[in-house]
Amino acid sequence: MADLNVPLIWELTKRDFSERFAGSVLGFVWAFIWPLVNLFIYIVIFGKLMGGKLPGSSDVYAYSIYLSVGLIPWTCFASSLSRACSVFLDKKNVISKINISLPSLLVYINLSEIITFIITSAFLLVFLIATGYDFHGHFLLLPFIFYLQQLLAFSLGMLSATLTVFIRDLKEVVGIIVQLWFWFTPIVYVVSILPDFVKKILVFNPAFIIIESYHRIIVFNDYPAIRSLVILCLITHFFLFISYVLFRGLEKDVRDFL
Amino acid sequence: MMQLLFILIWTALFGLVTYFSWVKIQRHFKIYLIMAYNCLFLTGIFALYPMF
Repeated sequence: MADLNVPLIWELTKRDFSERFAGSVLGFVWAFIWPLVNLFIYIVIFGKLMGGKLPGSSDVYAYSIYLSVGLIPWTCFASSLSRACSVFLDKKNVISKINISLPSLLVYINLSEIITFIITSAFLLVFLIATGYDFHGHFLLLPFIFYLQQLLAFSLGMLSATLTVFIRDLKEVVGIIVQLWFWFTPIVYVVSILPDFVKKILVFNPAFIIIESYHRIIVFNDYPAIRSLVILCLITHFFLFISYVLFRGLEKDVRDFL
Repeated sequence: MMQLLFILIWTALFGLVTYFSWVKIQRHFKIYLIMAYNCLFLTGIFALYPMF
């Protein structure tokens, strides 16, 4: 296996952005306009115009913040996973021409989505400061929760990217799973509206643990569920281990198949 | 303040251990070792943070 090539990963990430906005007059500025528009939709359309309210809170922006805090990391997670799924097929020209380490391709997808996440989060941070939000110590945990989230996306991405080379339909299946996963995770609705039996199943949803942690820290000024996070951490690393073992076992076949 | 200090020391400690393991160990199993460090690092952050 070729080692992770950091300059190449960075070059692929830069190219990913430049290709996305190729030929447009504003170019890279679009990378800032899109997150701003998304945040505008979450805050103004869903929060103000549609009058979304968070149960137990009188703050007019409470639901907007709840929605943004869930949707921004979810978008990063879902995009990382969906794009990773077909990355070996999409980049087969690069793979066949140069001796690239295949996990580098998954790293560049993650990096590209992380940059978009940082830009959107920066706008959200400005909004929170503008509305007089009170920051507290639990915020220090946020980068680690995000790291865990992206590690899970990386692990599942590696698993699906390896298998998609042999089973092309998997790309569509992953798309459907991500869509269903979104609605099974309390991002646009609060967990309290769910029936009891669904709440019992929900604890097995890793995305719920992650999104709930963001909500508890940012929206409810509370500690995340530490025990759930520790368990999720172990599960994520187990997935990472399994994905890597599978990838190592099939790497030669993946290269031959492409 | 104590929480920030804990995070900085914990991160620096694992950063150093990971770096030296990556540089010194030439065998392929170092990837699994780094995964184990990473798991310990994150588990430690989540489990120990509330104590500070």
